[in-house]
Amino acid sequence: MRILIVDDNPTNTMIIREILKKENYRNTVTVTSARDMFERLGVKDLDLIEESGPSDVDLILLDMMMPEMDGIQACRILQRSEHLKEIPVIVVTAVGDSHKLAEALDAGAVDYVTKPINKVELMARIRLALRLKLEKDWHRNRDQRIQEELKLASLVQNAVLSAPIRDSEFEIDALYKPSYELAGDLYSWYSLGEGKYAVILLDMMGHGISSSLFCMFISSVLKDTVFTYVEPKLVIEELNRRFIQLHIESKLIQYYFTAIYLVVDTRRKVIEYVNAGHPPALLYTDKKQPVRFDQVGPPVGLFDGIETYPQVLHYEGPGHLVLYTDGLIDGQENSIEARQAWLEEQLKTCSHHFDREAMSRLFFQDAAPLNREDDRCLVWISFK
Amino acid sequence: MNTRKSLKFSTTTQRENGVITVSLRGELDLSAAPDFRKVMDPLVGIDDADLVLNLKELKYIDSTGIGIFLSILKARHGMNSKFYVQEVPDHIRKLFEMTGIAKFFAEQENSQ
Repeated sequence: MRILIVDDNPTNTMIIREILKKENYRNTVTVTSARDMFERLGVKDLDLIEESGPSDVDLILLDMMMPEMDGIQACRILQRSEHLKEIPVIVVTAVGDSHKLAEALDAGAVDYVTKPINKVELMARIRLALRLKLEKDWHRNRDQRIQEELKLASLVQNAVLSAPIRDSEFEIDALYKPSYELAGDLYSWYSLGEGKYAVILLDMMGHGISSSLFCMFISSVLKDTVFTYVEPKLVIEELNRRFIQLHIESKLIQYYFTAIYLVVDTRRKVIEYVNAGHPPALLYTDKKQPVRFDQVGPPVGLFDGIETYPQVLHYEGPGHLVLYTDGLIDGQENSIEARQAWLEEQLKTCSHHFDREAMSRLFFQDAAPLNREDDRCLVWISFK
Repeated sequence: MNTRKSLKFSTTTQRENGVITVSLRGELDLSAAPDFRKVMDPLVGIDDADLVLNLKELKYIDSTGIGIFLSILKARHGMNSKFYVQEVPDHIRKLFEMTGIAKFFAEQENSQ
């Protein structure tokens, strides 16, 4: 416990030291000016105080009235350092000017004591300042720990996402931007052999930690489900069955996910899909208008059974098929139709080849309105 | 009559002639969801009245909000009590349609 006393008047310094000593605070350091204080805190150049590291001082008792630099100015400068501003400052002042006091507190001091110094009061203020500091540190440490945990968890989550496929007839890639370290969107694809591919994009209700856990659950049963059932209707039904098994006791919380699952047969040039409450995927071939995959049924996970509306369609290559989550069109002020139309228009002018940079510029760079940030995901399939 | 307010989302609850009507106002999203659950929690179990959500003043709803509607729907269905939404603004109706859930609320509405 190290207390730094900053005062140009040796008598004051002595009084404070004596009080502290009697209370068993023996580790005190005294300096006689604000400049010396900064030096003691390890700041060599005040213009570079932002870069200074942590200090071994736990508390500063700072005299308000000092020549050259007064306590208020010193407080302000301390605030510029991420590390030094964590040291609680109690200003020591002659009775009177409440404006000056307010100024000192606004400048970053946590408390004040007035001269002549009352021992009981000084000790109470010191205890208070240290208690607040301790609590603040505790919260900061916990936040840091959680942040680190989340970063690790997001690495785990990223590891389950599929890697791009670049086959001669079929290419697939994705752009993904979670709104938080952990995400509620999930994409996955599998080469089924004989020119067939299964692709799924899903969007879990909500976003953040709980949604990401549900995503991981689905992810763990996905591959098995796809290879066992293949067919869109059966795969969605099986995912529904699995998801319903996760029962949340708490009332008025209903998890579900929207998904679009499709099987592409590049030899027969046929796409089969089921859309479970998901924004329509868009197929662009050399025809003028895109084909919308908008035969939509309810999302997955609501009831024991799920209605699906399986669709089969032929395509003539070359072309591109784009799947996306609503984070891509949501959050803007316009109506859903307008946003949808805008997205379709943007994708129309693209070549069939996936242009990562252009897509990133178009859909992933603008900031959503506050609190409306959702995960954004785009999956791009090119047909040769 | 009971009113709950936050900056961007608030509800008003009214009971009249065996119908409890909760009117939603503003933006129902992840951050407003806990408040809305608190409002609805004591109402969902009331079986001697119909439960109605009036959405006339609802400006925005996200998937978390829709999740709450669906959980109410399931709970009410399980106890054979009526639940429906009314005065659904166009943009929200469109969202319900896109998400494939419009018919759950429509069926309920017709059965009143």
